[in-house]
Amino acid sequence: MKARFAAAFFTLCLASSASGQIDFTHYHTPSSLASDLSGLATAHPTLAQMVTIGTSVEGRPIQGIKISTSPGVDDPAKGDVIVVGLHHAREWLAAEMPLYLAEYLLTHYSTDLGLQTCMNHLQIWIIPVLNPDGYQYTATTNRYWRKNRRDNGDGTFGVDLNRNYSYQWGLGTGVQGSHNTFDDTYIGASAFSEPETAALRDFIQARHNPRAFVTYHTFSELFLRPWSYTLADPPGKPVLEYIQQDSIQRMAAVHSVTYGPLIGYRSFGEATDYFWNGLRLAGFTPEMRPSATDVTGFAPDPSQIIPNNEENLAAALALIHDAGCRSLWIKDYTGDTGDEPSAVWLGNHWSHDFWVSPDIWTVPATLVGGTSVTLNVNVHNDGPGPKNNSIVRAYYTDPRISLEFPSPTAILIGEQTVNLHPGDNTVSFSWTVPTGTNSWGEYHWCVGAVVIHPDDRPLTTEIQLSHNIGGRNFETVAAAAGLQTLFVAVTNYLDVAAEYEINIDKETLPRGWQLLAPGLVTHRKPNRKARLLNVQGMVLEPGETVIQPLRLLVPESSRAGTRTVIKVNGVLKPLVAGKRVPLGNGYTFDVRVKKPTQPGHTP
Amino acid sequence: MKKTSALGLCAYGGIVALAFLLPVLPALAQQPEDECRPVLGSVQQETNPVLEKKKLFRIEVEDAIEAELITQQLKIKPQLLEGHSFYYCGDEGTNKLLDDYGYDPVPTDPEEAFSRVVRIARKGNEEDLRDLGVTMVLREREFWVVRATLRQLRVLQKLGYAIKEIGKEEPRPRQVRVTVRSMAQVEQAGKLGIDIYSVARAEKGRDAIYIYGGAFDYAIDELEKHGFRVEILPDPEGVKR
Repeated sequence: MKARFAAAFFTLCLASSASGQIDFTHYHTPSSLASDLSGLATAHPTLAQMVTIGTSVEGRPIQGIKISTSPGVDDPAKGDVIVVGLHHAREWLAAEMPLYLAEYLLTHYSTDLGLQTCMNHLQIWIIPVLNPDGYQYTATTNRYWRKNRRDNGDGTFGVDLNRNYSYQWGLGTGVQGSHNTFDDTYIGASAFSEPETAALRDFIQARHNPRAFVTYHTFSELFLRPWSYTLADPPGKPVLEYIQQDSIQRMAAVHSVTYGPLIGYRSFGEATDYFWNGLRLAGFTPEMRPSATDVTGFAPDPSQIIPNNEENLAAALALIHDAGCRSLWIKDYTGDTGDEPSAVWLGNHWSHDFWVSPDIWTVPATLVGGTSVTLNVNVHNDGPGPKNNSIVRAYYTDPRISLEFPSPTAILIGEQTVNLHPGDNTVSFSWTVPTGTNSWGEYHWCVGAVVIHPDDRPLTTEIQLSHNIGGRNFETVAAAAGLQTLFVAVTNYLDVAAEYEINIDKETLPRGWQLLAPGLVTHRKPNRKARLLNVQGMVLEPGETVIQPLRLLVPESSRAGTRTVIKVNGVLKPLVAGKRVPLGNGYTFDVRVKKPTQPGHTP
Repeated sequence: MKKTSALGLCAYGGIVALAFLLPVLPALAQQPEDECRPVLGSVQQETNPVLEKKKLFRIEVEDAIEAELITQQLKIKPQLLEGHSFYYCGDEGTNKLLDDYGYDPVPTDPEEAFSRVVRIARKGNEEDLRDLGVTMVLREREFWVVRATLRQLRVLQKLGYAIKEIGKEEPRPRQVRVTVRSMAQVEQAGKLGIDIYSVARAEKGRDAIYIYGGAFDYAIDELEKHGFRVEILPDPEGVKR
């Protein structure tokens, strides 16, 4: 059913325009926009509720509308989509578009069954005006005001809210983020110095299951993705770039306006960078109409509002679809139902080992370095019809506690374009198993598989956060009786220093076996951030790797061939202020007792 | 909070004196009680016995995250963050705490740390201002808008400049079009202080890229110094200079 609904949904979204009661032929005023937003909530009480995420620097409420089938309940089982407008006060179209989206969703819910299906799995939070003080100021005093209305205490006013997020804050100059209080791109006295940005940070971090984030701006007709602070590729670039290009195509199909992908300059302390870095929350910045050469700039004619909203609606609905509807998926563990997240960090371990996908296996099962094996990936299609031209990619990585697919460290095994029929589909790849040990001295490889279809796109790179991604550790360790050492390699793949934590599941060990994880001795003076956070564990700088030895004691009485599985949960906790969201996964060692004469590792 | 109370918060010698040296300046906006930012103006002095021993100090931090952690974990708010310098209002207790975490607090003169953006009547040679280290924000027909440290303002006043708060007449950037040759130059121009609105290829037959944006005169000076062609475009409707 889902696939059929999805097809109808996309057809409708291209054909529909605003069919509600809100007048988009003229720009709203701050009060009329607030009134129309609350009017939507009043008109759709079973689907919508007004929310206030914080208060502006001048004391105005930062209001939004929550759209959900249970608007009064924050449901952790549902995915969260966050849509924000008007970081910059003069960009009025950036407030019109979120309002338009809210009205569209609420007025089409009952008639568009495809949309309804997706919305049933989501909580959609739409905040049309993040900067209410600046918006008011543009309406009364200065139409071209950009910042909020912070009194900087030196005779000037305003902080550029989209230079005030903490990731890479303060590292730019000029348009990248100015230290001059009178400049339009003034970064603020400190990261998150502004109540508006702090409110959005706290709001998103409090969500149970954030899936997608859109922040509307004008102008130049661009559709931007992270990073903003550098031209270098972000982790998971293929994921972000695919959505970016796909969105541009969908938007171009509406009114033949083709948005560009690059803005031409960098900005530091920007919103989507912050959320991609910290949460792997895919965020996009449409810089909407008019075009870069249009002299109307921040104040296009009101006749542009509706076509602008219509083309941006196409991209927004596609994101909502992917966040809320799925038909293709790969299991993360045997009992996985396809819901995400498939596992949550419970303080010292993951609720499920999500790196043990039964949908990924090899023939033969035993991996011998240098030999060619068949790597199989089973993709489930829950829809009623085939998903033609789906792309399945398989990767392998060195064993590291933190895994992402795709990622700069993941090596592509192969890519296949296939038609995925309802039910189970096995896609096979030829894989030449790496010879020798991996770079950490182990016979241990992690395989990840990603499935992509234009109607079912991964929105992140973390296995447990995406139904499109599955991962499996392949490990064969032979242990003789006595004391053995296993190694876990930990790499900080984040851009900030992080504390790492591991927890070993000892409960599944056979009788008499023991497993010890001696603490790592570091002679390095703990860095100041670690001291401020009172971090007890080891801290890894970005890109740094350590190898954690695990000491396994196998009793002499163990019979050759006895097998056991040793599970290691691991996370990286970035050294940042606010909520420290753990990222990472773990290891599964498949250990078997070898005959006393058998040499070394097997195979 | 009364605007007067902040004057007594930081018993830094120069600050109290400044109130008398610059009587023509209206008082600044109200400051929270825990700020060491000096307040200028002819105001009645009040004292707060708890806070009056607080002074302005500076420590060096690695980045914004560290500054944020200091605020979150140690409850020390920055008065100013500039480069890697974290300025805060502190006392012995604050400094001992920071010292325990490996920081090295340095007493700092607020007159050197804090600056203000003000109007001054046009007078004499602009070179004099530049020699003082004052930033020229805007050159208007009747007045200049400058950014200056409190110490520099004091010197300006001694030199006879009439200093006026900006108040509600906030400086407006000029609308400009900058011509560059490459995207690398777009990036370079952006760093010089232009607020980029849009970037567009020039008309056919011209090997150029136009940057449309807003810029104050200090940025226009910099752009021209770096060899960029800057055209001043008409102000948006309703802007009065």
